Amino acid sequence: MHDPVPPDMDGRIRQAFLLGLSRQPVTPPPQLPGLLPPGSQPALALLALTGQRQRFAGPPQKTPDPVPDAARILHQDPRPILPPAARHALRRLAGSSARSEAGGVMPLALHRVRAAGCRLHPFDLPELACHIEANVESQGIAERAWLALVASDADDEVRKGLLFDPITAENWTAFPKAQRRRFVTDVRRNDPAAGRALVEGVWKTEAAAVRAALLEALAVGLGRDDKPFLDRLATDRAHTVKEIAGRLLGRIATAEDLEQRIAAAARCFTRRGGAAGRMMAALGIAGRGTLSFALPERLTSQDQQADRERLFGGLPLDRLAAAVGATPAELVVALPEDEHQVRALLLEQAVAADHPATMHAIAAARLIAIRQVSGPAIKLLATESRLAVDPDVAARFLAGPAWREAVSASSAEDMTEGESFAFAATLMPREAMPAFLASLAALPSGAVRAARDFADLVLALPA
Amino acid sequence: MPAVAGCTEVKRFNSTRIRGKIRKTGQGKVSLTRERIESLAPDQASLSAALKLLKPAAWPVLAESADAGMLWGECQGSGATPYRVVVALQDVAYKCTCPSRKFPCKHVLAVLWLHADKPERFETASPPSWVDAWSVRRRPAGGPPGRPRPHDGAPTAALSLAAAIAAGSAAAQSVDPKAAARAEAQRQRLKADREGAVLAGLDELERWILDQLSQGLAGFAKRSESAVRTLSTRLVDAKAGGLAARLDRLTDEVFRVGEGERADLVIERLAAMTLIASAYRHQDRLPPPLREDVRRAAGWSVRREDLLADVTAPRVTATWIVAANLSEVQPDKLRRLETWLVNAASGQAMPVQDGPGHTPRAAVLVDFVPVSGSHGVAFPFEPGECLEGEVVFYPSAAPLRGLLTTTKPAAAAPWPRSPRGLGPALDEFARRLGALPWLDVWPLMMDGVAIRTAGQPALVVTDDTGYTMPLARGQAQALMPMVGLDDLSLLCLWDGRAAQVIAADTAVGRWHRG
Repeated sequence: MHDPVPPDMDGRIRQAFLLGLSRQPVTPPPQLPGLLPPGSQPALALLALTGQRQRFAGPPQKTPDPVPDAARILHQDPRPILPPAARHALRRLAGSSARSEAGGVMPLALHRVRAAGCRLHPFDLPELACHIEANVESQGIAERAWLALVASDADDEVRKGLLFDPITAENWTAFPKAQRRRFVTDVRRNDPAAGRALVEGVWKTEAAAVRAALLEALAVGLGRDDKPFLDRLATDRAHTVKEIAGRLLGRIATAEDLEQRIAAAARCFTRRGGAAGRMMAALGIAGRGTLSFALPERLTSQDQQADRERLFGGLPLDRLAAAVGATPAELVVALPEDEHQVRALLLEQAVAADHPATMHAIAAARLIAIRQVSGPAIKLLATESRLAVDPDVAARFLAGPAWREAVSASSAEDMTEGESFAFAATLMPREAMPAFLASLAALPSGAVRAARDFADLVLALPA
Repeated sequence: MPAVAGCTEVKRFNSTRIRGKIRKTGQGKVSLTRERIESLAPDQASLSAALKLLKPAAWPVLAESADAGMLWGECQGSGATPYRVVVALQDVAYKCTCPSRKFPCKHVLAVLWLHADKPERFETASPPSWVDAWSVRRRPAGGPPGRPRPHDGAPTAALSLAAAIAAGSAAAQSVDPKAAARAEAQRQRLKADREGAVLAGLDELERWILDQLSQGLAGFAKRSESAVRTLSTRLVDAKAGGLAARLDRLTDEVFRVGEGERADLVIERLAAMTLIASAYRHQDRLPPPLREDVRRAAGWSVRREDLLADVTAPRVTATWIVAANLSEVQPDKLRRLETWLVNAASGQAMPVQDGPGHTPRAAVLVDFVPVSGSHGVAFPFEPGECLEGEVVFYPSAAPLRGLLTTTKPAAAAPWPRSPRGLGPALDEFARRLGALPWLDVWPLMMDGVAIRTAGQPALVVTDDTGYTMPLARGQAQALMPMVGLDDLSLLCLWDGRAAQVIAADTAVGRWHRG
């Protein structure tokens, strides 16, 4: 059928509709009224024709952008995508951990995914973005490319920094703060002077938060050569920077009498059983719980935090353990639950020294020593170690009284234990997961859903 | 309905919780006693309702696990999709996808009743994935999570299966031919009254549209809420609820598009209502399918039984892929649930036009539930699931909405192939729009396309020719992972302005909305 409205009239009709027919009446084309049923309003017919013409014409064309670099990099990541079963378990875990307030489990789950050599399914990236963002420095290139892809235009530097892999001395300034700190730490392990030079080179142009982070990295490989640089920071405009510099200087000042410091710190540990206990320790048959810890009595409440720093800050853990006649793991286990600062200082040295075996041993010893599987203790252990323990350690833990008490039906009535079970799952190696799942059998599914989902994820990951 | 002969009480069960509550049938299966079923029912009305569901046609699927611990079934309710029921007999936990707020609902009671009286109707089978998924995630106590049980398990004297049976028989015998004739005459009078009311409502609608044109549509967005409210109420009073719903939606739609697009959107929506009004007045001159369309657009509904009895209604038995589940709260406080199906057998070799001898490529099943109780309502099918079944389409110039009458699980099917590029898909939309001028959305299937940004945060679908189709706002985040992938196969809902991707087949797997 021929269109009764000439093309040149279409624009005038549309304008009349927008302005109002009372202001701009429109005369229908002469052939239109004859096509309408008697009594019809031409204006309505014109409206119908205009509307339909628009619908058939469609919206104006847009010019597509070239594919962003971030999108290309995301899909070119050579790592295999998470297998379907693992993917589903991870998605379930994201839901169940949020509902059970065990949200801290997700970073540990992503850690396992990466350790298995897999990358997240691209379609899950939007939903998991908050967890990726919280731990960007430990994410793979595809995940970081996603963050770069959705970063706003104002975050151009962040976007560029996220995409390069690996970080080098040439491109390190483009990376986010956490990755830069880690880079400096890594360089300091092998060449403290080179690490310090990196920091000095960008010092004047960086914001306070970045300066503070980079300064923390100088804790690794700290030595007298760092003193001139740190001395200059006493007048830094940022309080946090001055504080960190002061702390590091304190460690340097006391490094010369390292042996005396080690001896002083070692005196905080006492082998119960006197000489017999020490002999047993020397023979390697010291039992659990024979080592005890107590700070010197002279410490006052105002001094305690600073004195802990002076006693334990920067001490090589293996040398301290040797002085005590114990293993590094025994030292950490001997600490009371509320000795968070000392434990953090000792773990910091294990992490800084990048001794996975030590960190493993510490995690294992702490897990076995746990007397009650309560939320804070197990959560702290899981988030600090970020490692699964060895299978034999896991087996001992699952057979131990603390776990058996935790999973007994009577104690499981308290639904808040859900967080504990979830974090316990994060410490289990793949080999222990079937036994771990079996130990949860009697518990209400709501209390252990996140734990089960984590276990399912681990079991579904490539071995 | 007599009890199954040969059932005996099993004395060896010594659990106090289930003593006397279960029995073993002659076939060696375990089921609940009638007394236990009565104790579960929230009220007598539920038992009476369950009685009506005992006929075989209501249950295309009834099955139990090999150990008889799990029962499941699919029940054809009044909705477009069957309700899925699963019961764990050990602790009488259950789940049904119907929107009823009674626990257990009539469907659960019917399954238990059937199992108690007619266990042979239950096929022994391996639980399907939806049963396993529920079983893995359920809480041991019976009933949906967080809801109090209607009873503490003690039998209630007033609830009786026998009473429900007696009441059903009495109702069946009380049909009076004269009363039936009077009722039919009354229905015809009411229908005639409604026709008159609708026509009066259309007059009012057209006067209102002319008034809007007189004032000018440039300012419609600002005055939309007040402009629409009164007329919408009058159209509801005039029994033209379909048009009232369109008006109500318009007040939301205008603010979902950019300011520069609002006037054009209003022109199109008011034009569609004008076409409906005109077509309704002259419906006797329309082809029957289009006549059905305009009556439904005005607000007339078709009962499920009438549709199933309509021999002219297109029927397609195929393997269907569940493409997406969509849910939207309407201005009338009903939640609209849409299940989109794609015919797995449709492909490039098939004609893309529908009509006699042609097979529709997609179907949508629509249900409505009250908003207040709908937050826990589950869709019966999961996106990605495949099922074999018959869809009966509502007669239409562009058949799309239908009812699912029979289903059974099907093996995973590859995504059907479609013509490459945007051109063929848009041509199909034009044909559909030509056949049904007030068409809201149409599902477009296309291969060989890509999703690209077009000035952040806008996304477009594009093809090898460089032609683009804008994507709906609000999908940018979800679809961004597809940017950089090539050769996508998409299923989009296209309304002529923006596309909503509801499923995609890509090199890294399928994506389903919902």
